[in-house]
Amino acid sequence: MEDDRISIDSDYIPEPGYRPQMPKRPQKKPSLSQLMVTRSKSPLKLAELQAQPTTGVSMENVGQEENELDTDRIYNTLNHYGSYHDSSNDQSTIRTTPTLTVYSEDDDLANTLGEIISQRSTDLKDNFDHEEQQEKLKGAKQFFILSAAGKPIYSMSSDADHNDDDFVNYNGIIQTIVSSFLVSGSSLKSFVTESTRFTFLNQSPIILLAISKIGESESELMNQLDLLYSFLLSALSKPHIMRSFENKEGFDLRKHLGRADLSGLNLLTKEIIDFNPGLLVGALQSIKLKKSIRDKSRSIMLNKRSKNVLYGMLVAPGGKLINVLRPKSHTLHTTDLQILFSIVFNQAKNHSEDEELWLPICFSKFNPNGFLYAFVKFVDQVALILISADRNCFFELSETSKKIIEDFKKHQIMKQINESLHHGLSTIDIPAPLIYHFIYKSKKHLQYVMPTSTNVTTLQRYYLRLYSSIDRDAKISVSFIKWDNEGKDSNSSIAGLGWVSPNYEVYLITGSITKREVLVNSAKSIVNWCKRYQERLFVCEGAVF
Amino acid sequence: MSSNSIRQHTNSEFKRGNKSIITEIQTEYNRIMATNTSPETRFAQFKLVLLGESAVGKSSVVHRFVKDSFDDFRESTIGAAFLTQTIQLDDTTTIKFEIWDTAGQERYKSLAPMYYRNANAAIVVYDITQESSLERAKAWTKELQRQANQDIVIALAGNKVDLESQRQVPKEIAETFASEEGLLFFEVSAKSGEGIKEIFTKIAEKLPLESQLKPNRLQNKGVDLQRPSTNNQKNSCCS
Repeated sequence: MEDDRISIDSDYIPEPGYRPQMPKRPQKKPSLSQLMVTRSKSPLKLAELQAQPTTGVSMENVGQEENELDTDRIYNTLNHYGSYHDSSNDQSTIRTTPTLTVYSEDDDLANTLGEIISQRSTDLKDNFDHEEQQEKLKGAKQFFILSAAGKPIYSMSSDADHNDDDFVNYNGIIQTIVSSFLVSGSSLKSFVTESTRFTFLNQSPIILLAISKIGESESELMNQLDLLYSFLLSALSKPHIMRSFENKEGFDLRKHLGRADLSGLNLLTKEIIDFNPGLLVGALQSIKLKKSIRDKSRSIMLNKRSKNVLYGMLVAPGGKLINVLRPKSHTLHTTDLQILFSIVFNQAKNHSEDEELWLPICFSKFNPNGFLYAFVKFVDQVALILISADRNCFFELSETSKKIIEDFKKHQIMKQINESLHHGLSTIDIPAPLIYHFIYKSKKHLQYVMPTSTNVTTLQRYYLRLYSSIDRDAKISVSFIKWDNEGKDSNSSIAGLGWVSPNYEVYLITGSITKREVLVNSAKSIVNWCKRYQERLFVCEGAVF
Repeated sequence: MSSNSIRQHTNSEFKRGNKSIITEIQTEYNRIMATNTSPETRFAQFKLVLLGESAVGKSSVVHRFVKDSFDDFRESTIGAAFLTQTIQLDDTTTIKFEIWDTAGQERYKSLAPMYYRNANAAIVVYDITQESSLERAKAWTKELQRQANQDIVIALAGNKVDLESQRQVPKEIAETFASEEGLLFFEVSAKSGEGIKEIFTKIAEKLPLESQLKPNRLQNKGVDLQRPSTNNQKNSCCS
């Protein structure tokens, strides 16, 4: 997924309050303005801003960048920063230079711990008012999928009868944008108005459009559009889509999409809007499990595998990975799995353990031209998925699943998994007591862990901001952000740290302590802890045959 | 179960010390056991497939039959789901259905032969409040008659009779079609449960039971826990 990202120049930091200059091509101001919502928050006063420099960053660099501005650069940069309805005014970000050594991996964990004040994080819950957040998100985001000829395919308000108020309301705007987009034939992928970012993904004959007011960058929105496009492919496959539009530009693709597909797209857009960190960081969540149990489940899956099993997965509710079975020659793509798990657990709602599902699915990142068949069986809410290229081998896979599950039960594996799910992962488990929440991604495993008891929806804007403040071109990048006067208590502030190295990414949020040094130490603790327990936290080897 | 209750009787009679009753019970117990293992007890297994337009309620019909439950907000089926249910047709006959509940969506149509290929029975479902769904049901019927097993038992089921006020398909029209084509016909409601069991019972009654016994016995080795006993299998195998 990361390979597909459109990189944006994010070195430049605009002056607070600087407003983007609109690109000329897609401008259709009167119509666009209909899409905007009035800014919900009045900008903070400049006096309230606090810059929090990070070790080793030279402010001179920032100044130099500013002198080198060319129009594209301004444009890109503003794309990146200009769209937050409340961000460019109340936050400041300083990134480290790529050469900066942030910490030495040999740091003694005990030393690190000593540096951290042994104080529990104050309860941040008051600061994150869920309802308020939800209210803010309402209408703050919209997705449209349409054909190149402008025929609606999907919007978030689509229903099974294709009543589509959003398309009706926005039709003029969308057509204008799309035609100017197509006429210019262009490299334009995104533009931004005062509060809103528009991002397009042109996968002719399909065009996808994201409209966001919550401060996501172009590349993040592009990833989300790619996910939706991949979902369409997963249902139809590429040749099916191409054939549908062959010699019939005006074809209505909704004829080929049913309730299940709309429901699937709705679920994905809901996951995006409610904030699924896995979609942001391009990784799968995994569950913590004793190494011996993970190894045992691995060897059972390997031993009981029948000849037509191409892939196998053991997945907990919410798409949390427990184990993977795969041939040596093939890897699995995160996006394909995110879509598969989303479909499987959507189906799980009304299927019980004595049912077995047989789902045709196109893994578009694996091969967009063909279908695979997924056998799905639920055991204690955990899904055992076996995938084959042969549509006729349902009963073979069904037998295989029975043997696997029998062995799982014999070795108490389901019990251990359920215990792990029950306990979840808490910040208490980790020697970084001041941290309210964190996301740790192991790049090697393309998996992430985070505390499971917190509702991450309320943390979305902080994580988005942290994520987009990272310099993805740098080998190592650290970003520290402080939000002042957040929440109800005027004394409280929230701080976050994003830290990306060649092997991992860690993002953390804290409420009580906002000193940069402390956060860096906490980040170190998290990294050390995750590394030390990586065999428990991640599916490291998987069952490779 | 019967043996347990008899044992309980036996114990209580013991306390009263009434030996003649115990002897009587023992005789009765032996008689029941003998009946249970009689060669007339039969077990058969059939493959059944549900077909029909999207959203007519195929999965709801199956779930009412298998779990006796109904969910107003059911997700649309993707691909197909496989379920089994065993029914007691009469005192001596047990039928196990292996059910393919298929997705109604048009684009899965090409996969349908995979599910009806070896089916002994099919339920073609339409929605009495959607006229188009009967047309789709007719098309499925034709396809089955053309491509499925020659002796497949087909039932036409009009679902959602609980929505009588929204009815678009008069019962007579569907019934006439069914009788012309030699189909079983039912109007049912998965929501209320009305008529659901009858579909499966009538299908079971119409299926050629004897011819199914031998091959299914072998296929079904050691899977079905609800089978009456191990003895009667051998017996009916030879019958």
